Amino acid sequence: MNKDKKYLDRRSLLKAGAGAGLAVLATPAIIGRARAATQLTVADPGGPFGPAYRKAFYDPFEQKTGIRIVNVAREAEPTAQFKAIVETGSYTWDVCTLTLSARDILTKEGLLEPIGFSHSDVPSLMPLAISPFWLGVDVYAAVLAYRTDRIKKAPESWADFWDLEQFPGRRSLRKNPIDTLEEALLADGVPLEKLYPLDADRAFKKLDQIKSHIDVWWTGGAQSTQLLQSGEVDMIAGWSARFQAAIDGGAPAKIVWNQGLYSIEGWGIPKGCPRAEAARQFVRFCAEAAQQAIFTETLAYGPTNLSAYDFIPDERAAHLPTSPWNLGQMTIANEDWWSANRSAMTERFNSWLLS
Amino acid sequence: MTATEMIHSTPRSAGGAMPKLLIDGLSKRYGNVTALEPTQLAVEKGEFLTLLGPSGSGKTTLLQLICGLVERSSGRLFIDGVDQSDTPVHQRDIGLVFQHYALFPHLTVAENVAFPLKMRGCAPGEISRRVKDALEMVHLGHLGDRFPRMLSGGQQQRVALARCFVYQPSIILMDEPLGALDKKLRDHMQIEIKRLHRETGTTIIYVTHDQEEALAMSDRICLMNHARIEQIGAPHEIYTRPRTAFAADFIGISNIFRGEFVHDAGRPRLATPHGIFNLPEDVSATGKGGALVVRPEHLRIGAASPNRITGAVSEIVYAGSETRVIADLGGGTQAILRLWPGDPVPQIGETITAGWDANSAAFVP
Amino acid sequence: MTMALSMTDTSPRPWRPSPLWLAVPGFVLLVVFFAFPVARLLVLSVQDAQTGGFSLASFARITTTDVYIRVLGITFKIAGYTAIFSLLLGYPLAYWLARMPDAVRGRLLLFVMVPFWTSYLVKTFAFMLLLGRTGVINDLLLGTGIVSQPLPLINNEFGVMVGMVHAMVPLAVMTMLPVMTGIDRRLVQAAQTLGASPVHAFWLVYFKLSLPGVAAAGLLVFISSLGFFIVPAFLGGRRETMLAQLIIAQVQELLNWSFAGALAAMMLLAALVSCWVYDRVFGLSTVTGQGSDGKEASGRLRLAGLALLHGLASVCALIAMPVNRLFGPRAGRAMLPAVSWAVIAFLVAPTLIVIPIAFTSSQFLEFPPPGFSLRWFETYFSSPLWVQATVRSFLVAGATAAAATVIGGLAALALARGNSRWNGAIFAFFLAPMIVPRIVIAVGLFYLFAQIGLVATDLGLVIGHTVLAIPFTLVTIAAVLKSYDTRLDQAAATLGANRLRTLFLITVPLVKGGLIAAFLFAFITSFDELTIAIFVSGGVKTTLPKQMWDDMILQLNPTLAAVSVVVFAIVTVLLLVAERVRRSP
Repeated sequence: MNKDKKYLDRRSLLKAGAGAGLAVLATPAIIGRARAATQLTVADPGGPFGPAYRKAFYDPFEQKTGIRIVNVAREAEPTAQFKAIVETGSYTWDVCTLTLSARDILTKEGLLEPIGFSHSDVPSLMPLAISPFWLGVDVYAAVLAYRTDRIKKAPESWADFWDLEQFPGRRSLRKNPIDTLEEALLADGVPLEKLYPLDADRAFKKLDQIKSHIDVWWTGGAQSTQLLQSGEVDMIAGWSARFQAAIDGGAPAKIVWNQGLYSIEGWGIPKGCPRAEAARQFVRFCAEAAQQAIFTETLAYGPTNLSAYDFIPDERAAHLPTSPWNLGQMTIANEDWWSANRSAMTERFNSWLLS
Repeated sequence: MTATEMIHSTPRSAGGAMPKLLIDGLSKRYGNVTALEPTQLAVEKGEFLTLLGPSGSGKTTLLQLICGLVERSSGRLFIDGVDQSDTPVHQRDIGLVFQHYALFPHLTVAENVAFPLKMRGCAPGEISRRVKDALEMVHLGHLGDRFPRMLSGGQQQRVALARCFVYQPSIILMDEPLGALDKKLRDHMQIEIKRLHRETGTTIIYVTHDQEEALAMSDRICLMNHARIEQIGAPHEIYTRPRTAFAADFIGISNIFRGEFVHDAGRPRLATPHGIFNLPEDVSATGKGGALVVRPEHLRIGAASPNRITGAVSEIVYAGSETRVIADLGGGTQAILRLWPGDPVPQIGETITAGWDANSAAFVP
Repeated sequence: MTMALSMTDTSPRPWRPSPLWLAVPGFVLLVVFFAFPVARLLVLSVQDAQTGGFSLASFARITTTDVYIRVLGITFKIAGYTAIFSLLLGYPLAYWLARMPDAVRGRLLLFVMVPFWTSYLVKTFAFMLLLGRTGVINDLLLGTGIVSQPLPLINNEFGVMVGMVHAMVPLAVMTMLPVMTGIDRRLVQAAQTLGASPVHAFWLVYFKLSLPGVAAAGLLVFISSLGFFIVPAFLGGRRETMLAQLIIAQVQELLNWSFAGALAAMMLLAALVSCWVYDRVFGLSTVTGQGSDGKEASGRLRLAGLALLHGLASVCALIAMPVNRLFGPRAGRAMLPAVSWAVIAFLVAPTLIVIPIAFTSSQFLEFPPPGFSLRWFETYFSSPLWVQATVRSFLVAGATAAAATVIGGLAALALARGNSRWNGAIFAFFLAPMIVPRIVIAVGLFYLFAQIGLVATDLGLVIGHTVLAIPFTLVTIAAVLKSYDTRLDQAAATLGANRLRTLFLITVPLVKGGLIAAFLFAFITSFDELTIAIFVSGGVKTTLPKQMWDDMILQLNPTLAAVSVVVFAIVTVLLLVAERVRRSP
């Protein structure tokens, strides 16, 4: 209480100091914070996810429970904000989408609230898609895509991406060691199941071969769509849903699922959230196969509840990472290895890029 | 000199009447630099006092101290006997006319003139009437709607004057107001300012470095040098009886002959490199010596006087109303004399002798 | 009657507030919402993440590899080149504009400001469309047969330079212009009557007089450039990595705030060192107009700097003479407008390309658009998210601009009127938000705001943006106050106006142009601000750049272009109004 009082004092001081115009602006925000428990604030990735999630999860949940869902866009890596939310006790979000790496970091720091159900409650879930603190709702995959109008002979593996003679053309890789190191090792003949722990020396050696032939090092997901769609590059490594968006928009391109690396994104609840009970209810709702199937209608991500494929037509399923045809060709990116090595690998990768 | 003596030495001081402005020990220092030594000065109501001196002599500092634009280092300032030392600028009943006019460029002429009245909360009707009067007083009644940049320098100066006179401050300070004008306009504006002074009866303190302007306009001249007052008095007094060599040199043209006292037939005389000269009768010879100041108009070629100098004519300057002769006295010294009407004009190179009446000269220590 | 008066006066004088008090509101704001949060973040850099004890591990890590030093080097190189090229392009344009009549200049300045009013996210994508392999320029070159292979114009150093210089030329022009319009052209004529050729007269008189503006523009551009991360990410290649990108990655991806703090400290230190060197060489006073304090001639480095600039002028004079003789004076005279229009075309091009894309029927940002459609405007106006973000951006930017102009204006007044030896230090402190990378401020503010409940509030956004905008308003207003004739204030005082009335009746109307410029600077600083918005908005209070950023990361579609066109139209109207206000007497 004492703490709260201090903040209140500081705040009133601030308001007194600020001009009248500022105070007026601030008023709705203060009212807005006095939220009832009949409303949850959900941080999703924003952009196209907003409408897709709303259709599949938010609106049906509101209809079912009467709890209103307000969705806001979170950062690509919301860990910093998440940490501050819990540490300062200002719960601006009640539920937030987290990647596996974010989940692991936050779990380790004890910043997550238990979700209150387990795999035995929803047996058709992919086993990797649930932990005591987190529920995976969609699967994305790092794959190879190419322009069919420029690359005449279809590449089938990362080795083909590295083969400059048989597959001439402009290439693009992500300016990040994640996925890129795996792709180099796969190109060098490491089998999918023996990827981890990554042999970093071997990966960088393989990357050396292609370094000067990479025309674009992309940094943002939308950029990768643009690169493929505009024909700026002919072959590119990136996330399948991004490429599918370009293909859906009419770009002459194809995705190679072979040797793909998938990962899972899902819900987590900040530790100590005052509306945790309602939040758990929401997370549980998102595990339903029918809801997940609706989600894939709009965006080409894979459902984590594999029963969802009972509701998805085959032609759509062919473009989704977790469909029976595609999932078997890929492996999951190992977050344990990455959370232990990401910092060092990022540093080494940056250094390698510059030399 | 103390303040008390100062008050009694002012020519118009009539039996202890209160001076309009009294400055007592006012000084200004910037770090180690003294801009104005502690200064005593009393100005009578309705007086036209000129602060005259070379640049850096402290006259503008004194002016800024009077109106309060500069914080004093010591001393006090009284207006009508009331201590105004700590009154902020905008509450002192003082007007200031700036050297470069300082008209507000975003206001029209009329708005500029109305500004001080507005600051004093005058009624709109009164403002427009007084602005009209003030502009007519400076013959600019037809230009009220113009912006300052559309006016000539002389017109701008008149607006500045109108803006100052319009609110009838009890003291008006003018900081080299005519400095930016050409000679003809300057002469004309001098007469204008004199007329305004006469018509309004305002006390005016006027700063200039132009001694002719000072002589022409002032009731009294306050001559300043090296951050202090050198001499103060009526123009005639300062001209004819300079108290220092600086005063003699700065005001008018002077021939200055330095030397030491010699006693000749019981009377002290001054022995100079150019001759031994009689002192004016009212001078008592104290100390080792001094200098005689002889104005050019008091030197006459061929005058039968014991005070004579001889030299070769090196230059003759014709200046319309008068002709000046410059003679080389030897030893690098030159004398300037004015030809008297009817006297023959000498030839260049001709050796001439000129003399003066001992009492027409001034002696300075 | 005798008056007993003492020669010396020892009575206490009433207390008159020093002008420095005017800087207090800004000072307090910056201490609480800038210095404190940033200092706390920097403290993190010497704290052990686990124990909280003192540790230099983060700094030790910087020295174990050369990658951070190299990235710092690259950052400085890119910022340095950006400054040089921005000055090279900006100078002729500013010179040309300075010679224009006031009304014409005002209208032409709208063109110069165009890049300001197009979000740099949008501009960056526009450059991808212009410079890409299948972009407009390569299409033209290939189509006309000038080249047989597409030129590599993007994803390399050239691409980064184009993007950064494009973003910075307006800042350079706006900084140099007031100095240039203040130069008395009769001085150049005087030089000519003294026997200087027109070329010599320009270089040895006009150019030298304009150097304070050039030096100020160079510094502002350089420092602003240090914190870029979007342009190098999207237009750069393998080697174009800037320090801000690494700091963001440490904060957002690796969650290593300690190391982020160490990197931020390194960047801060390097920026301060360069400011110090700059001050020694050119004198920071050129940025403010401070400095007639007698220190000017001192300092060997400074003399060397001046000698360097003067030498440059002489060399240019030597080169310019035969060139002028060769092509004749008429060609020379046509050169300036030609170059200026070319620079303007460069500034306007990305915005122009955005307009047709807004009306495309395609769902991608492609040029030329395959067909006409209003669907993206429809998407925009029917999306409450976009509309709310737009409204919020305008409100926040308006409040920020008002606050920053008042606070910065008061501080500028304090510095112009006060003659304190603290002036230099105060000025440096007020400029500090420009030097500290925005990501550092954003993270620090986020932490602070979370504690006092300002996250996800508009007030939080306004405070954050005001902190960023104050340096711009201070510099802009200080520049006009420098040329302001303080005798007008004295005149007003002697005419009976107190300080407040003098300020509002005389000073403010006369520096109106500078105040409006400062207001616009602050407005756009807020309107186009992304970093703070990302952190402080908490996702709830989304501003336009934040919304665009989300779109850009996730799913790019021409809504972005439609939004840009609408914003551009609104802002153009606002600017025209502002220009009318400025020119009204």
